[in-house]
Amino acid sequence: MRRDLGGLALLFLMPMLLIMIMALVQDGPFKDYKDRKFETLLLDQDHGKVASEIKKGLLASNQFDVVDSIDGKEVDLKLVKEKIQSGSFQFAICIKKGISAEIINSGNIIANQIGKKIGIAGTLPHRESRDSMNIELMFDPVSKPAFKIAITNAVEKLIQKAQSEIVLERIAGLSPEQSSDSSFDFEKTLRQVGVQEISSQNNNAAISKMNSVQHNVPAWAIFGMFFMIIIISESMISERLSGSWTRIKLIPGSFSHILFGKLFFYVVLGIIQFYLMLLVGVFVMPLLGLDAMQLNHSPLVLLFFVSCISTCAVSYGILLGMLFNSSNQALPVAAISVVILSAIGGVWVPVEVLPPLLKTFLLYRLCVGACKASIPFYCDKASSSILPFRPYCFCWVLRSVYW
Amino acid sequence: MVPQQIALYPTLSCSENLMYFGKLYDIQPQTLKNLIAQYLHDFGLEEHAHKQIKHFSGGMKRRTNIIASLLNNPTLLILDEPTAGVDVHSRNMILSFLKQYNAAGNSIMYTSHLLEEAEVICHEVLIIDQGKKIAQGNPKTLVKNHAVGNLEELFLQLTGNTVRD
Repeated sequence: MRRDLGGLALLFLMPMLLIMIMALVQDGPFKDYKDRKFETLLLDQDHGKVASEIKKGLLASNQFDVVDSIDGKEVDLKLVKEKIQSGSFQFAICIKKGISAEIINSGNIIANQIGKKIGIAGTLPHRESRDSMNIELMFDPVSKPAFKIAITNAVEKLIQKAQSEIVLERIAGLSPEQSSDSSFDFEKTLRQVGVQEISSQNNNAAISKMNSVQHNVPAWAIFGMFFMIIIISESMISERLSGSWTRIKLIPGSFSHILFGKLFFYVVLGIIQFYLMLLVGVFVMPLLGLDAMQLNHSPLVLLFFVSCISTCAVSYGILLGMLFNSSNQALPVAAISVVILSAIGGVWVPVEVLPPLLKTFLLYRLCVGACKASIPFYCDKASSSILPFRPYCFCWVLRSVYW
Repeated sequence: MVPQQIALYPTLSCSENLMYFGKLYDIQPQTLKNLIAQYLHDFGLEEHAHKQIKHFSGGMKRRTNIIASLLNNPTLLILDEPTAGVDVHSRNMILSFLKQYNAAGNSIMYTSHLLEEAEVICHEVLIIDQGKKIAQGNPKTLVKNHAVGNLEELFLQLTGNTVRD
């Protein structure tokens, strides 16, 4: 063990370090917007009901901290722009003067129309609606489109709620003698029909959350398994250069047995390495303030995937070892090709966001399968995706061995 | 076959290397251990059995390289310059062993640039120059027939004195 500490570090410590750093780095981007709290800059030039409703709604959601004054001074448009451009705030809501009045005017128009239809006498004062009144959202220029859409939807929902309440108040104002029921819970009534996420799995399993750990631990553990190709190819090249290879080939008996013996050893090593990384995901990640890795309930499926990945990694190492004449040639190719394969294999980003062209590559299925086999809610999908791929996997192995 | 390169694993010890190659020959573990112990004794390496090859001198590496090829008791042993770059003692030990091995009824095919070695240990030599055979026979007979002092003189006589690249 002490003889090759560098090799051991390459096989176990480096992947461990890699998955920990990658999970930490990608924790922010991976976090669901629901899990984050945003500081929101609110520019209220209206000082009416709409602004107070939006502020109340944002605070009630527990996702937003609303800031409408800085250093005791109410924010103005210039300051809002400065703060957004400097990145101090990711977005700002600007409520221009007259927004509440416009919504109340719209409410009056709607209430008058409804009152006329249901036979309530009396009209509320109103004027012609203006088209150009908007509540404005200002985003940090680097904000992602998905973030903008999520925030826009959230604010629109709050505006609609404020509008609905105003309309109801206005309708009630048409006949003041019939005072509205103060115990009526408007929000609760609106929430009678909502939206709820359910599990796609048959056994009604709890809905698992995709997070940085769930993606990064299996993905980079697979990447780490491919570190082995550097060791294997270098060892094979030095064996060949030193003449050990010739000595081994001259030994009576089948050369394939010896080669498969080497392959088996490294495959087992790769499997051990992968499971060690999963243990890091389960036990070490929480110590770093991340979520613990959730493993699926089909250990055999996972073992099958990991064995295939490890076999491919080792075969690829053998292939490079046979193909190149020196470590100087093999190592850059090994390192760069692993990065390329991992990119098209769904290691860098979930495969769902890869362009269609890259999805057509054969190799991605195996890596994706293994990633998904580690994750509970992907288990069934993974097992079906690997089956058509098996022949390619074993062809690759055979081709490497008999090169 | 004993390759010219040191065909051993530098991070493994001498005995680990021999055990590895011996196991590939499918030799029973106990037989293999005894065989290795015997050869290590014969080649003066028993004290260094557990040292890593990378810490060996050139001569020790050469001797281990030869032992690794002897483990399956080959009746024909092919050696490619087994004394290249070794000290005088190691060279003497290797040549003495080869004589004994040959005397025990085994054949040896020995490739070398050192013609005096061939003259000492070979019953028959084949001299090749630029891929072509230029002489073949018993060393003493060849020397006598060409009226030269030794094989080296014979080689120069047959090939000329110019330097070859």
